[in-house]
Amino acid sequence: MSHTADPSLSSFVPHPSTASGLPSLLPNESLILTIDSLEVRYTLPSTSTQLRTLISTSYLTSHNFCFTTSNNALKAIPLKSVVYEGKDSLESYTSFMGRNPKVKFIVRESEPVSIVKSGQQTSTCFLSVTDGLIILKTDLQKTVHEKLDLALFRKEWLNDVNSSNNKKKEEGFKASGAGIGGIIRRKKEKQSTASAQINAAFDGDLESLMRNAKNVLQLAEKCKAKMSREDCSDVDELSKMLEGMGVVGGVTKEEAGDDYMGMLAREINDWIVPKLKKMDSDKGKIPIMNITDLYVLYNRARGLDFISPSDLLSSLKGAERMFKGFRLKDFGGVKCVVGKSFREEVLCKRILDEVGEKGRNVYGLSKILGVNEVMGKCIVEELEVGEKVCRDEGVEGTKFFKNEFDRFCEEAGITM
Amino acid sequence: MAHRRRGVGVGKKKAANKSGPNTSSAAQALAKDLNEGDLEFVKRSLSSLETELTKFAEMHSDSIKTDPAFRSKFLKMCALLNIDPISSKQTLLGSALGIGDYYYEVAVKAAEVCMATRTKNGGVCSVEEVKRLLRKKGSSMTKVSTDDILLSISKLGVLGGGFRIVTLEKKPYVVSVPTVLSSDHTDVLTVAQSDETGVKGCFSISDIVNVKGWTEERAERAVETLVREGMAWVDEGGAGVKSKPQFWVWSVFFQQNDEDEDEGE
Repeated sequence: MSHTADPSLSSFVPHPSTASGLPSLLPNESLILTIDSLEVRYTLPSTSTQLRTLISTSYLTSHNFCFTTSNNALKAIPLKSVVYEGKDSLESYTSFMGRNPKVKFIVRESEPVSIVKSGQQTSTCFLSVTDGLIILKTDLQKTVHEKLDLALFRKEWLNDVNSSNNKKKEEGFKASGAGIGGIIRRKKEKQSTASAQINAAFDGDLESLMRNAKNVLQLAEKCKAKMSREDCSDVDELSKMLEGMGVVGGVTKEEAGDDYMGMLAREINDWIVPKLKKMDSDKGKIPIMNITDLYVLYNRARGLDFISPSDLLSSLKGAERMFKGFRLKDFGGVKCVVGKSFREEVLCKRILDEVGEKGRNVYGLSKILGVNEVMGKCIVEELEVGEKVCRDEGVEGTKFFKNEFDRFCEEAGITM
Repeated sequence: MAHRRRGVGVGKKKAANKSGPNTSSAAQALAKDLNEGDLEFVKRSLSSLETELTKFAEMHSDSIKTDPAFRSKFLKMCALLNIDPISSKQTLLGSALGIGDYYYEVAVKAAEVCMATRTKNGGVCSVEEVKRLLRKKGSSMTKVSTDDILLSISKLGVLGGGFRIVTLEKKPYVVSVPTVLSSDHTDVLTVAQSDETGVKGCFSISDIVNVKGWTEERAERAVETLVREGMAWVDEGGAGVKSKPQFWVWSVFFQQNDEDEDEGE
């Protein structure tokens, strides 16, 4: 086994990060563990005796081991480059001479990296890179080992490769597949495969479902598509809102411990900022969302372990202060988050252009602005209070117009 | 003798027309059978997936909470099938303080119910109605109580979206819009809720004048706001009818109907 001789940080793969500094994840990737204040030790090949140190926050994802460098850049060690050695001896290392174990990653560029464990006393949480080795020593040793073990066992990165190469195999012509009899036979085969997939997925523990998750997801997608073709029932406003909200990692108190609020703020920031940006880029929409809607949608995206309204509010305040990706704002007593690019004067001009000569009701304005009616009403009433628009309540309901009273008074020579 | 070319030309066309309808109807029947069988299988598969996922969630809820990689996959499956994966459990401390997963779940789902019905009731929905709709939402909500809803909605108040509870004739209602309701507005809703108008949920201006002793103008002004906000509907009696308009409060009227149905059961 040959090792790469370059253990410098530049040899690690640069990794993109989100607005809050967390590693950007692939669709199939998930953040498993965050270790704060990790000490990274490494030696460069030219000065192999000189130990360099940096304090880093590191992240274990299903695909990578990432850590931040001194200039806040994120570096990644792909887990596909890791070979786990001496796994069974973890317990013996732990107990040996009462010392804590450590994990060494042997650094290579594209070849598998092997991890060796040995006992060494340490009370801090740090990672060191020595002559092509990354040595992981941490108080969270057991947790790190367990999570790392599981990630290496599951090999989630292989699913990406499989899905990208997931081309339908072309089968040669078979007489048994021809004709109506062939169609019926193929249908039966598909159905029995699907049933077998469901049975296999739920026959046992987490791992069997994890292994078969891709098949189950595909099957569910197909079924839903088929059902939606058959059932053309109306989709209500809430369903529309829930669409495209995705699934978030859903940091839990059990995992994050003391840093729960910090992690929650990061997660919310990374979830809401792209949505506000998308609203901003959609023609005519304004990047605004009321916090009650956000509470419902965010918890739905989490799927479980719902957060409390006050936790959401605290996290939003924290995320606003730390990452500045959005702002909190009050519209007529309704708390909202608005995108970074949001300008009140732009919104005001936009609404004045829209109401035009003929005026518009709240429903029409909300539709144009891409917000729900409650939000639209708050916005337009806020402008009404600021004397930018005025209402006309007639037989057609309430319509809003540009407030021209000042101009009328001026033209009529009336001073107010 | 020259070979007769059967199967071409007008003769073939006629023959095809004769036998055609039978063949095609048989094929159509077969296709229909196959499609129906397919649909039946899809429905069965979906139902089986839903059952298995729910069962799985109950059995492995702790592991799901502590395994982010698995959780992500599991939630994708649940989201796709529109399943609520975890049934939050009520704890003793949580019940006392109104905190914990269960209450947040009730808050989220109650808010959803209020949002979904807002176009009909203008954002005023009786807690009984919210409870009825929540109980339809899944196994975790079958035992939800009025107190649970009241506690959960009170927690939503900090988000500043207008969610609050108002009491009309001793019955609690969830208001899910930031509209400020003056005492006149709530008085009108109380009249709608009372038995004095004949039909619960339905009233006229003269009912308000009679019950509250207001002037017609005051009653009209209060009702106008409720109509504008979508909380009350106007029934003008149809073309050619010279009766005075009647007003319907959706949430009160439908609550009454549901109570009647429940009694019937």
